[in-house]
Amino acid sequence: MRGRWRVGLWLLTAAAAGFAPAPTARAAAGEEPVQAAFFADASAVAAGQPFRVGVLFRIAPEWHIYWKYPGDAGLATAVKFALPKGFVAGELHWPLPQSFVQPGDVAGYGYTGEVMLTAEVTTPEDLPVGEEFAIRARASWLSCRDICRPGGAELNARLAIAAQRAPANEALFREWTSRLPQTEKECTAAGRVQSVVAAAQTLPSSADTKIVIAIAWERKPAKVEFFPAPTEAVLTDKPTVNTSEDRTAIVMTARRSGVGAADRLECLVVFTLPEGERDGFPVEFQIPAANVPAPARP
Amino acid sequence: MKTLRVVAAAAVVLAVIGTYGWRAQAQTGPASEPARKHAPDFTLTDQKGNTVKLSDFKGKVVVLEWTNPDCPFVQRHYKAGTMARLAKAYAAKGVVWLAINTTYYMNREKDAAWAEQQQIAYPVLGDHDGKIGKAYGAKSSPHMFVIDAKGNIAYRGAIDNDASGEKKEGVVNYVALALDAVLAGKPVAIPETKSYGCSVKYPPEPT
Repeated sequence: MRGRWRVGLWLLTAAAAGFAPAPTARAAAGEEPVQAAFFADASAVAAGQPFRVGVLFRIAPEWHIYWKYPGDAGLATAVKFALPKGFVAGELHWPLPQSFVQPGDVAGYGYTGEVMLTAEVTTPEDLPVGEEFAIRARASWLSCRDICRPGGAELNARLAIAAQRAPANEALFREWTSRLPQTEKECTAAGRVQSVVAAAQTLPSSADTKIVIAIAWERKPAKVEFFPAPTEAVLTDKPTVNTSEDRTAIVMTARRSGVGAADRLECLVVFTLPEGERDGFPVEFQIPAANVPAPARP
Repeated sequence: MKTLRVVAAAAVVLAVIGTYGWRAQAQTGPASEPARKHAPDFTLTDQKGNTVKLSDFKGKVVVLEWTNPDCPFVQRHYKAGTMARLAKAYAAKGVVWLAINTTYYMNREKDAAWAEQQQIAYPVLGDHDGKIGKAYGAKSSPHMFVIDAKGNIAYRGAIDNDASGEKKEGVVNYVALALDAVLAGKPVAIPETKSYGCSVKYPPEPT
């Protein structure tokens, strides 16, 4: 657990000076391969006006950290924001993940290089102009290459309160917002997706539910990837993704684990355009508890 | 109009299920339900050089613990004594505990050194070519399997519900739950969970 809650401190200066270039980071043996830093999209916030916060992870070459669902092994990266009373941080926004296929068919979903996890913060209706407030972000992660090591950071920042919000780090937040999944509707409106049909069917006398997604593209993508993001209540098997010309069919088996009662299964379809740009949209399913075997017919 | 569109969409999905779905499962898909339940037999060598055969324990309840001395999750559980405590408690009830190390870059000397360092009382089996790990679909260290007296897998998955190791209360040990049910001759309420930990380090594959 060496270096577990290392304090990252380039945050305030970096936030004030804008987005500093990434330091050349090749982690030496025993050196923490991941550095985390806090950013806000405002240097001063105003009452009733939301702003965004983010933790930027810089990951040494060869290493990766994990998406909200890590795949067959690994551990989801976590960020928790602690804010003064009246401020509320929304759910974490996760940029499009990458998939790592490791020997033995062990699927991993996550990030290499850099990733910023962001959240929107709503502010109270009444704030004392001219004062400051503190934000704390607690980040924890598991980084792996041939070995894994857990890491974490306790990040602190102070922001000013003004009558009007003063923007900061706009390019950084624009960059990472552009890497978030869109909705299916947005992908259709952007002329990238023609239609998506999704269905789930529970097999008779079985715990298994078969899910199927059929996608028609405007143009054949260079690559189509599928990322299930089950909660602990749902288990998923390895999906198959078949693309021919402008059609893709994704098939996966899912079932309830018996832990918890949530039946929602969120998945993410990620596609790479012929030009190399990646985009994606979520698809949701309900996974029912196992079908009770039907009584034998007389 | 809308109805027509939905009917057309349903037809597409049915067609896809027909052409891709079932065929994909038959060819490359995951094991069918009965196959998921049967525990493949194996013969492996433990840290002392003894040969251990699963089918020799027929009639007994067996726990398989996929392990890796280099993995922080394994180290955390060994520091906390999770495995030793469980193995000892259930040995008294006739349960056999076997650790399996699939880590490709390790060998029997490493398994022996680790077993001595941790004072492990049960066999640490070397599966360094990954054959048995693949037969079971072991994905992470730890990854736990409980095999009932008939040789079927009664539980597969995580050791507990505390992946990050930060739970102060409400930690549920799924292996203990499964063992209690199996020993009492009752159905296992939670037969499968998502395991957590480091990926099992299978030998690199030629690309």
